[in-house]
Amino acid sequence: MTYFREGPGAADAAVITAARRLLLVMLPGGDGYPSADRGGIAERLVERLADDAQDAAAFSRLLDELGRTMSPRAALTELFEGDPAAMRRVLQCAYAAYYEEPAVRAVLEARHGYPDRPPQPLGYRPATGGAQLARLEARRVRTLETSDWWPARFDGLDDVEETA
Amino acid sequence: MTAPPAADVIIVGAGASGAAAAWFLARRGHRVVVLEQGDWVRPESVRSDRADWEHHRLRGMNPNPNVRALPTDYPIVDTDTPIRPLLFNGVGGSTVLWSSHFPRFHPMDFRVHSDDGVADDWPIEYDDLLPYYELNDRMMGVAGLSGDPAHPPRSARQTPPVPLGAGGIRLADAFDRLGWHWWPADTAVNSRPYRGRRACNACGPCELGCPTGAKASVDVTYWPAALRAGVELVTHARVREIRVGSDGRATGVTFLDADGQEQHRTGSAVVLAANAIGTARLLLLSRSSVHPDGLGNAEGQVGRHLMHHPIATVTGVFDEPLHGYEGTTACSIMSMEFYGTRPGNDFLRGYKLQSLRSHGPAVTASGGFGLDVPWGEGHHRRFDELFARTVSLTVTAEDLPDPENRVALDPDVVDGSGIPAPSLHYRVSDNSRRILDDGIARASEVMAAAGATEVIVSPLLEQGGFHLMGTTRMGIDPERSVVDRFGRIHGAPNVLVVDGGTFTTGGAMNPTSTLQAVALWVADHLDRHGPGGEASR
Repeated sequence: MTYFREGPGAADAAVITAARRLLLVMLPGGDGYPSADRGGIAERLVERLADDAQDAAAFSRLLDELGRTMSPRAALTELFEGDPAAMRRVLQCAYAAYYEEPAVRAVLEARHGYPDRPPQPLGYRPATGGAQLARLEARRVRTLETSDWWPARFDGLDDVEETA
Repeated sequence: MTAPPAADVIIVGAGASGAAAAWFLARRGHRVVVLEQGDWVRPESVRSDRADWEHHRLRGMNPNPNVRALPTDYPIVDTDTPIRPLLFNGVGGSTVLWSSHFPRFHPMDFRVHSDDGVADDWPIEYDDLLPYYELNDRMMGVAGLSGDPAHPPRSARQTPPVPLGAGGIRLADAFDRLGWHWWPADTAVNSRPYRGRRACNACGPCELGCPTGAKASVDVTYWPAALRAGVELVTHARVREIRVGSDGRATGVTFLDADGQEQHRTGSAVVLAANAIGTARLLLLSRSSVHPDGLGNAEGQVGRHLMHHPIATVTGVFDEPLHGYEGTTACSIMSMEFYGTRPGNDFLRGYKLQSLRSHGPAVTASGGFGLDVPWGEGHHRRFDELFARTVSLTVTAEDLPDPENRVALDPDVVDGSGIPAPSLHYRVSDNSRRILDDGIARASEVMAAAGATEVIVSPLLEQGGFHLMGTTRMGIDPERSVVDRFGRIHGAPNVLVVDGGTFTTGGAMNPTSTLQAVALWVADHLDRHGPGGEASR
């Protein structure tokens, strides 16, 4: 059965409703986390599924199972056991949609110190390991000088100014 | 319409080895044309500054071309291998997505047969490649610390080591407690500004592409210099055949352009740099009356001896945050303690141990490095136990060459242009399995010494086929190899190979530094002796 209309990001509202039911079972919330049927997670998930033919096919299998069993848990279990590769694709999309949700990111920041922002442009400042590196000084052996290896025919080849 | 002028050298592939060879030859005054199947990946298109960066990593920039499935990719039939192929088609090749770990092969890696009586020796040695390793380091920019007692001397690294991170520090202390070797990994990332490229800000997902230019993908290292030197780069050029004359020597190539139109380029030499899958595929596709089984395949050697680095991961879970999402994913420290053949082992050769940091939340939830996070009620609790609290060691095994491990042409599957797709046929050998099992035990000791509260083992990394080697291997004997010591195909000496396919054996080291050194070595000989020039040994 076709659940995704022609065109990127297009899906029927009924698919979003079904996705919300499935998300609630996949990521039910608790331990301080919101459940995945809230916010814009289902819409985000379905939009992405529609953008990738393999993802759409995997999720369509899940919707077929849901139509057959009428139980989100049974449908997920069926796909998990019957087609692990398809289930993996669905879960990856679901997790990506969930862990972008602002309410979820707030939990991650509070609980794990994981900043509520993308990696760029600010980046991070990991520990350098200065003490560990200092311990290596006593173990170091000889370092090559350029004259140890530079053949005359390389002269002018590796021009720093040119590549800067 | 006027035909384009003949090139001195046509290079197929604009990745790590093709870019290095193109730059070198153009700087030596050769007219070089490079044909690349993909396109440029612009830094501004890298999505690590967007909320959906993890989804993009799992999909549009997934390293597996069968998952990514971009129009510039070709399918690779991987139903007969436990290790999936990972590569990228574009200017910069797989360096666009790589993790930048940049070790050199050890001298022992070039003489496996002499030392252990198995496989073959390379027809070149470490010292042959030394000037090219060093030149390549300067072009790429390497963060690290010279003076590692486990390796021959090398020049001062271009920039200091990348930060070890809390996990790397834990592991370094554990290696010291055990009395085992460790050293900061050579990493092709600027820890400080170098040659006009910025310093890394430790954002984490190197595998998405690097928007700052700190990572030394060759689109930002070699390519600007190569273009200034006059290299003609043609993107969206899908090469489907190397054309030969009646004497069996190459006359040029046929490719499909961005509009799907067939084009021809002529040249005095053709250099193949399309990785160990793509190059073998192209040689097998290049059948003619002179080379009825494919170019260079008179002895049926093309595509055989495919080597990976089978990888196991051992992940330690700790009771305090390690913030492993910070910093270069795969680069921090490396141990040579178990490298090479050691008395008492039930296997030949050995492995390196290399630290890995961890991932963002969605990739962690999806399984990260072998994690098992359930969906359903237990998800959040298990996620909390693992997220930002793990550090991993890879066990990278040396994979001995086996002629039954190979790249072939699939009889059914074709790419978007109707060209037969490659298929992989590969088994992890008993020797490699024993190497991995030993490494898992040793890495688990490290994790225990580091204070891990739980150790999670992934015995074989399925999505781990990023080191592709051996399918057009170097050798003296044309019946057992495809190219000679200068990368020239036996029987067609103006066709040369410079990618990882040339590797006679694969060591247990990430191959990029070595395959680029080989590319420069081959290019230097081609420059000095011309296509088909006599060996100067």
